[in-house]
Amino acid sequence: MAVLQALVNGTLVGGVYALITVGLTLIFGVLEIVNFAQGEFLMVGMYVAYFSYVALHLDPMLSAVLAFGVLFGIGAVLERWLVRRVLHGPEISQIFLTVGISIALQNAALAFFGSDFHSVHVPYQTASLSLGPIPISVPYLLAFAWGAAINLLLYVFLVRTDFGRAMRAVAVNAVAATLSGINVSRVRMIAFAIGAGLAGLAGAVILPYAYVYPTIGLQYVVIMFTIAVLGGLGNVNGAVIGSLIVGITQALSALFLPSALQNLVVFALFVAVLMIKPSGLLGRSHAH
Amino acid sequence: MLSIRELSAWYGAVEALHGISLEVAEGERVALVGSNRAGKTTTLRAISGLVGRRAAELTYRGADLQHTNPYAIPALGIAHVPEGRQIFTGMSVIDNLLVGAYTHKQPVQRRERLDLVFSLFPRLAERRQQAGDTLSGGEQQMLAIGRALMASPSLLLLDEPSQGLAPRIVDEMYEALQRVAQTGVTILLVEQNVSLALDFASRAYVIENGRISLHGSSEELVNDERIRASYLGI
Ligand SMILES: Nc1ncnc2c1ncn2[C@@H]1O[C@H](COP(=O)(O)OP(=O)(O)O)[C@@H](O)[C@H]1O
Ligand SMILES: [Mg+2]
Repeated sequence: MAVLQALVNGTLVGGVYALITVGLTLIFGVLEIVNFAQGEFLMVGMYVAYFSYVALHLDPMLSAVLAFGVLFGIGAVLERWLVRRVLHGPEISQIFLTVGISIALQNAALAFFGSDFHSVHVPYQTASLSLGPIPISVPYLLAFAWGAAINLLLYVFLVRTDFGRAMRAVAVNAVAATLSGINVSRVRMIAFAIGAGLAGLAGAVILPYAYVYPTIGLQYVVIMFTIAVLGGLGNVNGAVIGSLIVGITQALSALFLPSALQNLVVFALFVAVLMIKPSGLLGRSHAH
Repeated sequence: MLSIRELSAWYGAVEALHGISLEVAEGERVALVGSNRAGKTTTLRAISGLVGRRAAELTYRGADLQHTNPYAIPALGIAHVPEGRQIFTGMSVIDNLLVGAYTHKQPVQRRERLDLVFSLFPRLAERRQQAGDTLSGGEQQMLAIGRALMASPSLLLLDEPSQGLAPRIVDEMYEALQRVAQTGVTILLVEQNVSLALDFASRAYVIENGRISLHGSSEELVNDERIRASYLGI
């Protein structure tokens, strides 16, 4: 029973991880840049949801859309004015730039919002449904539902629409994409904006069970990178599988190990996968 | 249709084309031939805006290509089949073709183009769901040409379509290109295989070390002593 419970919890958490990671994966897949500011985009999304709750009594499940919009805008501006300049530069300048953005966002949050921990109070905060004998936490279930919906939407976008197809084309061959009449710079800007927007959306939907403070992004960025690399950097399907594996591994190991050691199991698994298949579970092939 | 005067092109600080001039009229089939590293690929890349270039004139149907963004050039009616095919790896045949139709959104028109491409290259139809990069070399070349045709071009730039292919496949492909030309598409063909190129085109330019050294009708060139000695091995 405990194992079953752990599997259910692990799947729910994994679905949320998939939502948190998918933006990072999209950005890497299309722009080939590792965005170390992704955790801070998530943090800003949490603040958007928090202030929407305080000022407008908006449920984070709804302000998630607003958080997506705000971070989409921030992402578009950052790409247009900063990221674009380092795309063809050395990796070290890409790292400096995105780490720089992450530090700037942390400090801006600290300056404007202070270092206090904030949370929201929604009616379903402690509610749970029962699946037979297994209780399911409602806030986790809702966040999972957002994660599933977003991953499905993104899949349909990338596979079925012209613009999504163009995005995949840019990811694998920018020159041939240009020769097909695709404005590669614009596609990259929008991919970065969507990636940032998805981090913002993820930040909003986890707010009912998480605290927001200026450095919360650091906590999530480690898990994001573990999953993204595990699944094969740049591979959206791989990121989903990696998310479920990490979620379930964490939940199962919690049954046997003290919580301090849970992440050790995840990292052991991570190292093992990379030793066997250095390109990650699904390798890096293309953006879907 | 395509007018090029004194075109120079650079890779960084290195000049690869030194002021070439070239003219292609509506409905013509023109070849650009020359040995390895002569500057054939660079010429096509300069037309498409993929390398730094400067020219006294570089116009297509009156549009100044020097003041057109590279991504906007296909919409003018120029489709460029690049050297080495440049298939979108991991994407299916049909997706590769649909990316080629990116500038043409009307479903009816797309349907027609797709039918045309599949009638020219039936093997692409059989493999439509297969990943483009898992096709054979000949099929990949057909896919690259098909992708270019999806944009309903008026001018087709072809960079060594015969490269690395078996003679039987090359024949098959050139037959398809004949049919494309018969539909009224103008073709500027780059080939290292000079006899093949002179067979296909009515006129040709010879490029050597980034300069045009000779041009004339294919007939004249086939009978030219220098061509026979250096390129046809006769
Ligand atoms: N990407 C590149 N970077 C630097 N130099 C290049 C590049 N591509 C081609 N060149 C140089 O430009 C010249 C012309 O090359 P290219 O146009 O590819 O010749 P061809 O297609 O006739 O074989 C050669 O000297 C080649 O070395
Ligand atoms: Mg070449």
